[in-house]
Formats: sequence, C-alpha cells, structure tokens
Amino acid sequence: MELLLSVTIFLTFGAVFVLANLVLGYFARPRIPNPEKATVYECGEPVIGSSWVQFDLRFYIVALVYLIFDVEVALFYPWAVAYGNAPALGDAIGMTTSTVRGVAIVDMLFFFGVLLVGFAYLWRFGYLDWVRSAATTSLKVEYQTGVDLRREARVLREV
Amino acid sequence: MTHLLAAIGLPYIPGWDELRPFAADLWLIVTIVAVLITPFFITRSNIACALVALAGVTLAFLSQLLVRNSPHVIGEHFRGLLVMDQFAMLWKLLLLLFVAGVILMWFTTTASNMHEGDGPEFFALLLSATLGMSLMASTSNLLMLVLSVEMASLPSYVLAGFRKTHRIGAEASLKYVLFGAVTSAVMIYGLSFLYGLYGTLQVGAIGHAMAAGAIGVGGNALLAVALLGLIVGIGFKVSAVPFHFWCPDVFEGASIEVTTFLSVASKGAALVLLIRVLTTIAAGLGFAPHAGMSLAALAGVIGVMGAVTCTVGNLGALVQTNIKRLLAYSSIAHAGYMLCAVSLLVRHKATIVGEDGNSIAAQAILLYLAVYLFMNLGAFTVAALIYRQTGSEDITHYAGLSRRSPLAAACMTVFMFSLIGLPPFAGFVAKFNLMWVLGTNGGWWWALVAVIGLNTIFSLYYYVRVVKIMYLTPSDAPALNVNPLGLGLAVACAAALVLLFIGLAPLSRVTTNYGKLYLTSQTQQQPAQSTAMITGERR
Amino acid sequence: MTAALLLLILVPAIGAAACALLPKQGAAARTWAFAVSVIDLLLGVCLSAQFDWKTGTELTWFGSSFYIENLQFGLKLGCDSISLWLVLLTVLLTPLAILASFASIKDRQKEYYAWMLALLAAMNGVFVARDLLLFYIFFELTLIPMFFIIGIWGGPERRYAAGKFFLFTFAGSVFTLAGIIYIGLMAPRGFDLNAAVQFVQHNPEMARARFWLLLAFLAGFAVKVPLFPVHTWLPLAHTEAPTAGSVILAGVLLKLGTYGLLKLALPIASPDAIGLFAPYIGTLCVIGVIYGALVAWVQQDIKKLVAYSSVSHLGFCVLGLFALNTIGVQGSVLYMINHGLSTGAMFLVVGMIYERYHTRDINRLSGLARVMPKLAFFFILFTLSSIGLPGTNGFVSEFLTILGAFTSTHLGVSYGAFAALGVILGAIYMLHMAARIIWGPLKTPDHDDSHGQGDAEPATQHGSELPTDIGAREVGILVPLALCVLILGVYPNVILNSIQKPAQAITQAINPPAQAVAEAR
Repeated sequence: MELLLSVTIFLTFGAVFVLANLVLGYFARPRIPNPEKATVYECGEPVIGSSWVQFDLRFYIVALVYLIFDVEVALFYPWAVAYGNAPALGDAIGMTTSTVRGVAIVDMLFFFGVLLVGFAYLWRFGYLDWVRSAATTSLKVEYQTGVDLRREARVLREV
Repeated sequence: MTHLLAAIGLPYIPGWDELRPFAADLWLIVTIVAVLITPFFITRSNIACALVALAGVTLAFLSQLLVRNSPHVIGEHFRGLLVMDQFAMLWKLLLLLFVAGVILMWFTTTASNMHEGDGPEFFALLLSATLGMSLMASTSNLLMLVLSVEMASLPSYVLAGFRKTHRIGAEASLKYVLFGAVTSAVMIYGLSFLYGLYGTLQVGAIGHAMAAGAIGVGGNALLAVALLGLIVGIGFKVSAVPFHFWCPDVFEGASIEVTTFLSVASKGAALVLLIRVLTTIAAGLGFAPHAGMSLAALAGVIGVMGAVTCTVGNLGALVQTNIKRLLAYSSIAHAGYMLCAVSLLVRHKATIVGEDGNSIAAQAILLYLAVYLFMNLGAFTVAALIYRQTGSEDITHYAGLSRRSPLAAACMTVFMFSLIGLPPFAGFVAKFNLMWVLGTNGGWWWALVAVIGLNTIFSLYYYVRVVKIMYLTPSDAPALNVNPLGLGLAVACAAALVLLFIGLAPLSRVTTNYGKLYLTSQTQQQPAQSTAMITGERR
Repeated sequence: MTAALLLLILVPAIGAAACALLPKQGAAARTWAFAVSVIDLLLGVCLSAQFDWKTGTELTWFGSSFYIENLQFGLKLGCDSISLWLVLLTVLLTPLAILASFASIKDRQKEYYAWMLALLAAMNGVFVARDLLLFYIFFELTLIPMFFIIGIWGGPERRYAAGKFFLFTFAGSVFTLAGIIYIGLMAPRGFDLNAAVQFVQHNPEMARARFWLLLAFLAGFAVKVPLFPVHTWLPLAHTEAPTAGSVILAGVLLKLGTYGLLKLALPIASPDAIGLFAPYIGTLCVIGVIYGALVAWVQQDIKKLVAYSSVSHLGFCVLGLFALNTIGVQGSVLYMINHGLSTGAMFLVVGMIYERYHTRDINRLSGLARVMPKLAFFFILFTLSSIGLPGTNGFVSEFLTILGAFTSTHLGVSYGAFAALGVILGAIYMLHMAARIIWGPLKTPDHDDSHGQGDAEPATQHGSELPTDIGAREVGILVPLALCVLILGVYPNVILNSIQKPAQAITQAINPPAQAVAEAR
C-alpha cells in the first residue's frame, strides 16, 4: 500500500510538474512570431535541404564500430584494476599474484581477441571502405549486363 | 583496495569445474570465431565455412555428450548466473542436432546460389543465435535471461533479412525487428519491476522472497505487470497469440533454412526458458498458491494463451496456399500445444515428482520438441527441394508429386501425418504424451485436452490437403531431379519419426530421465556478500 | 505359441515394407501380396487351432520389453472368440480382395499391394489389441492405407471421397482418444483393456464419467459403423473405392466400429449409462435401417445401392448390440461376420460386372444371366444372403437381432417391428435390382457409350480382355464366400455357441444377474 502510494505521488508530481511549467511558459513568454524561428536549429548556419533525408547506411557502420571499441575500453578497466591490485586480491581469495594476473590477462585477451577477429573481418572484406567494390557486395551474383537489378530484386507476392 | 573489495565483493575466478558443463557453448564460441577467420585463408569460403560450422556443432554436441555425467555438472555455476541440469542438457543436445540438420539443409538448398563471401556472415549469425538459444535453457538470472534472449534475437533479425535483394525478406526482417524491439522493451520493463520488488536478479531468490513476505496490495499489481512483461517477451519468441503476427511474414520472407531454424530452435528455446523461470519461481513458493501471487492465475493465463494460440494457428493455416506460411501457422499451433503443457509447471501435484525436480510437464515438452524437430526439419527440407526445382512455394504446384518425385512425396506425407499426430509416426506419441500429462492433472486441464483434440481436427484439413494434392491431383509436370543429399536428409527425418514411434519406450525413458530441473531448495541460502555484485542483491 | 497373435500383425507389415524391394512392373507385387495374405490366413487358422473353444479362455501375448512404466502402456495382444472370428473374417477377405484386384489394378501396383498389406496388419491389430492405446493406434492406422487406396485407385470422384472418409473418421476418433486417455489415467493398471473395463464398470466414482466416456466412444465408433446421421461418408467412399477397397471397407473396416462398440463402449458404460443411451441409439439404428433401405431402393448405381444397403444392415447390427441382451449381442456378432461375407461378396460380384461393362448403371444392364450364368448364380446367391433368406447366413443374424430388440428391456417391441420393416424393404430393393440386371432381355452398354461416364481407363481394356463369363480365378474368389454363406446359413451354432460366453459376460454387466437369468429362460 505504501509502495502504491509512493508510486502514485511520483506519477502525479511528474505529470503536474511538466504540465504546470508548460502552462506557466505559455502565459509568461512574449509572442513575437518570426519565420526564422520555425527553421531547424543548425548552430546558426542556414539549413540546406530537408532534414528528413535518409542518411547513408555507411555512417551507421562506422558509428557501430566506434561504439563497440568505445565500450570495449570501458570494459578494459576492471581487468586493469584487477591486474594492478593482484597481490591484495590474491590474498583475499587465496590465489597467487601471478595466477590472478594470468587470469586477468587471458580474460582480457580473449575478449579483445574476439572483437579483433570481427574487426579484421570488417576491414579485410571491405566493410570499412567508403566505396565498396562489386567484388565484396552480395549484388554480384544476380548481376548480369543489361539486367535492371532493382527490377530483379522486386518480388511480387501473390495475393 | 579494501574499500573497493568491500563495495563490489570479492572477484570471482571460475575454475575448469565451472567451465566444463558449458563445453558445448564454449565450442560454439570457438566455432563462431573460426567461421569468421576461415575466409582469410580460403578463397571460396561459403562451403568451407559451412563445413567449419558443421564440425564445430558436431564437436559441441559430442562434448556435451561427454560431460553429461561428469561430477559437478548439475547445479548452479558462475554464482548462479547459469544453471546446468539434465533438462538444459537435453535441450542443448536437441538444439545442436537440429542446427547440424539445418546446416546440412543449407548444402542442399542455398549453397549453390549464395553469394560467395556471404557464408561466413551467415554461419556466424546462425551460430550466435544458437549460442543464445543454448544459454536460454540454462539461466535463471534476470540479467542473463535478457542477455541470452537478445543474443538469440538480434542475429535472428538479420538472418530473417539475409536474402538482401528480396523485398519480402527486407519486409520480414523489419517486421521482426520492430516487433522484437517492442516486446523486448516490455519484457525488460517488467523484469525491472521484478528486481525492484525483490531486490535480487536470481529467479530462485525471487521465488523465496515471494514466499517470505507479502508486498502489499500495490505490490501485487506491480508483480502482475512484471510477470506480464515476462510473458510478453517470451510470448513473442514463442509466437503465442497475440504476439504471433510476425511469424507468417517472417517465415515467408526468410530463406527456407532460416525459417526452419526459427520455427523450431527459436520457439523451443523460448519455451525452455519459460519452463525454467516459471518452475524456479514456483519452486521458491513451494508450489503453493501464495498471497503475493496466485500461481493458479498464472497457470490459467498461460493455459488460455496456449489454447488460443493453437486455435488461431490452426484456423489461420486453413486458408494458406504457400507452404512456408502454412508451416508457419502450423508452428504457431504446435507452440500453442506446448504452451498448454507449460501451464502445468506451477502445479505441485503430479507435475513435479520427488525432490529431484523431475517434472513430467517438462518431460512432455522435451519429448514434443524432440519429435517436432524432425517433423519440421523434414517438411521444410522437402519444401526447399521442391522450391529449388520448381521455384514455387505454392502448394498447388505440388500436384502429382507422387509421380514426379515419389520419395520426396512419401517423406512429405510422413511429415504431414506426423504433424497431425497420426500413428504410426512419432507425432502421435508427442501429442498423446502432452494430452496425457494435461489429463494427469485433471480439473480444468481437461478443457485443454479437449482444445487440443478439437484443434487436431482443424489441423487435419490443411495437412491432408497437402497430401491430397501430392498424391491425388494429377499433373503433367515433368519429374523433379531433386538433390540427393536433401532427399537423404528428408528420408532420415522420416525414418527418425517412424523409429521414434516404434522406440517410444526408450524415447520416453530418455526424456523422463532428462526432464529433471535443478531447483534451489528452500533451505539453501545465498551467500550474501560474495554474490552481491553478480546477482545484484540489494543490501 | 501365442506369438501367432503378433505374427498376424507383423507378417503383413513386413510384407508391405518388402513391397518396396519388388520390381516396379509385372506381376511380382501382386503374387507377393497374395502369398503374404495367404500366410496370414494360415496364421489365423493356426490361432483358431490353438484357441480353446470349449472354455473360451483368452489367448494373450505380452511384449514385456516394450513397456512404458509411466504411461503404463505396453504391447498387449490377446483374443477371445469374438476377436478370433473377426480376425478370421479379415484374413479370409483380404486374400480374396487381393485376388480380385489382379485384373482391375494396372497402375502403381507395388504401392497398391503394399497398402493392402498394411491395411491387413492394422485391421488385425485392432482385433487383437488388448491395450486401449494400442487399440486406438491400430484403429487410426487403418485410415492411411484406405485413404490412399480410395484416393489413388478409386473412381472419378475419388479425391473428394477419400478426403471425406479421412476427415469424418478421424474427427470422430479424436474424442475417442480423449476418452482413452481419461481411462488410462484413472485406471490403476493404465491402458490394459480388460483391467480398465473392469475398473470403470465397478467403480462407483466413475458413475458420471461413464456417461461422458460412452459419448466419447460413440463419437469415434458411430462414425466408423456408421450410424444414421454420420453415415454420409460411406456411400461416397464405397462407390468411389476400387472393388477390393469396397470389399475391405464393407467387410472389415465397418466392423471396427461395431467391434469397438461391443468391446469398449458397451462394457465401459455398464451398468447404468448404457441403459440411458440405448433407446436413443436404438432409434437412430431403426431410422438408419429404414432410411438406408429407402435410399437404396431408388439408386441407379449398383454399387451405391449395395453401399446404402450397408447403412441399413449396420443399423440392424448396432440395434442388436443395444438390445443389451445376450441374444441381441450374439446376433449382432453373427451379423458382423455375415455382413462381411455377403456384402463383401456383393461388392466383388459388382466389381466383376464393372470390369466387363464399365458401368454399374441398373438401367443400362439387363439379362446378364444369358451371357454369364455362373456370375448370375453367385449374384443371386449373395443377393438372397443379403436379404436374409432362410437357409442363408443373413437370415439367422437378422432374426436374432430383431428378436433381441423385441425381448430387450431397454428397447421393446416397437423397435423390433420397425426394424422388421427394414427386412421387407431390403427384400424389395435387392430383388428389384437383381431382377433387372440378371433377368429380362439382354442389354449391355455399347463401347462408345460406356466411355461417356468419365472413366479413365483406355479403350483397349474394354471388355475385350476378359471372357464374358467369370473365369476360374473369379470363381475361386467367390466359392469360399459362397460356402461360408451356406454353411453359416444352416449351421450358425458354430459361431453362436462359441460367442455365447463373452456375450453373456457383456450383458451380465449391464443387467442384474437375476434379470439375466430370467431372460435366459
């Protein structure tokens, strides 16, 4: 019951807080309409084209690779700490310093090794190239001269 | 340093004893890496990768067989993050067997027209999903649960759209990923409630905490939300109604070996996970209806869900003309049958025999999965062989198949009759066993027996229609020159179905012995401090 | 030596599998199938030699290595005198049916004979199974071979007929499965047939369950028999099936339903529930008797006529069962055998006519006695047997079932009287047909004309291949049946005496012993 009460209070307060501020702002703010205000905020630069364009998929691959290695560095930290404090840790759990260090190194290398294999794969097979050659894309097998690939790719579904 | 240790608990260094039970999973990881490395050395890498994957899966299978009787295998490992018991072992063995079958199927269907260089990715994804599904069977920790479900799901989304130039494939993949993302989110939301309520991530400990103290009226509502979230997330993987909409589209859009893989492995893994989580909670509660959570209500929800799922699946299948869509709806129906049996797991009487956690409901589901594996693998193999020859997945193009390819038609007939649940095929054994187990409990479970019986009649129509078209509709179409390896696979599956029927006794013995779930007993206390970090226990 | 029970099933099953090894063309398959079925016939004879006819002790065989403890399911076989007679009927009819297919089945012979042998194995299995689950498995197993036999080698509407046959019978028997599972769960010895029956009968806690169990069993068996409202699959399946298919369907498959009623439904619903149902089932039977006869009367197709006559006859058979007295049950069992013999024979003769003239239309055939005296002889003999003329087998069983209905405490005079009306109607439609086909001026269809029927067979086969009258093979098929018809007509006691004990056992469970004694007097 207590829990329900606290949740209710939380929800009510959250809703009231947001709505109250919106209402307050509505009455308090000055109204000076200007077409500039309706544009997309681009750090003061004039906007070029629509903001709804589709980004090139290649950006995502780069972003993903970046993200993976970013997180990986964060995950290195515990191992580093364990390696550095190996004597104290070893005492606490009844292992020799070198065992703790060995385990930390092996664990880290295993994790990093798996990541590296993936990275090497991306690199070797052209996923990091901005312009991929036809040899590394799957479209090749369907490709014949004089054939419209887009038309070939379209599959009609029977109704 | 001391204050650091005090804050996070002692570090945990698993020994070989901890790793050995998971030899199969470790082999899968090695194989995934090996598959990715292969193309560095071999130019025509598709076939090579398939062989590496097959070898890895075989090794995993054998290692799992070898370690099954070793000491210290049964029990919790990695401080309760993973559990290993007979139940998980049998599922892993079945899964690996099935994946080996799917890889063999790949040789006969897609191998010759997959783009050179796509193989490593395909098999790495396939094995990653397999790894996730394998882990799903052996976790009773909420974190590991989410991790393994996502590990199974994410590669599956990509696999569904692996035919990159097919529009239907892309549509399938997108539907799958959107549906999956939403249901995953709901599940994680629900699980966070569970953690918030009980302050632990260990499902067993949650069960004990439920038994220990009431959480108030509002707490019950939150608990209901939490369990609902869990059911939504797993219901999506099982394709239980109303989370089944993705299933036919994905099955149609994905390439056929992916469809086969998803139809058995993904659903089976989700069911196995559901069994473990529910049984662990119920065991924590001592299988007694509890003030904090009515187990009877939970069983009711799952039972009704199972009944509705099999009915919707069968009714949906009635009007299908595409064999893959038909089998998709049929797989929904079969998942429904199995869900019906899941509803038993929270009952003490008769479903859990003795102290060793030997559950006849889990046994029935394992037996069903073991049989279902062969039925679906075989049916999809035949469909794939015919697709390779005729380029059509339409059932009407199966006309006269009994003359055009007698062996394929005969095998397909075996699979269809077995899917109905007709003797002398193992499908009968599986369905009968399921009905038997439901009947054992009596009460409203008899209604589920009736629903399954009624659904069998519905299902009769569309399965028999396939047989009728193959045997009774004449056709002038030329004879098919089907791939002998694929035909061999289909014949092996058909033979397995007949053998499993005749070998009903040994099969039943195996699944009974391996239907045991490791359940933490009431008296066993969690060592509070050392496991605090991993189990997320709040102090 | 009771392994003969197992061999009865195994020999044809292995024989069916071995068909795959035979050459695709030629007579090998049919010779093989005939040989295997004759071996099975000999096994049946062996079994009856072993059987102790005096005491009627059940022969049993139990495969202990194939026993599943937690399901309490095992390979239990056994046979009492009722089962034995039906097994004998099966093993007698199957070789004859295979022999009758020699000329008519030209297409995919290997598969055809494999299915026939598989069917034989399954039918034997139903009769000798002494485990409820095993019984159900064999019961269902008969569907698959029959589905293909009708669907591949049948007449123009074979696909529809096969599908309907399959759907109807399977849909009904799913409920039976539910009932069997229930019994298996409740009974202390699981699926053991005799123990389960004893358990359900004597357990006061099962009083309500008996009612539902009877409904579940009726759902499966009434479709198979078939009783009046669910009979619609039968005329279609009979008409479209090839000759041998019709023979087996009418001769044995329908008996699976009545056998199930006798062996399971009746004992399990004793002593109370069955009495509640008897008047309703009896009414359905009487409706079936008269309806079947009336519809048969107006048929133009001989085969359809015989098919509807089956609906009528099976009505008698079930009426005898649900009279719930010893005379009725004895008559009913005798009726099963007799119907198998005479209707099977009728289908064989009709098939022989069809092979020659490629029509079964009563209007287009006439005076066949002039060209086919031998066939005419058999045709008339089996017609008379079908009508139930005294001196043929049909008379005794029809008389006993009606007598059973008259003296029954559950049915009564009106049921018997209406059923007797069916006998008269039976005489009318059978003689009506026989008179038009066998006697009168000779009329046979022209060559061109016969192909207007949508018949798929090539013109070269038409009539030219077969001699006008039936040959030695065909006489060989009909003579054993004719002998049985006559022997059972004058000496039915050979069956009646041997089945008296099991029949009494069944009725005593229904009627209190004192009443049973009074009835016997």
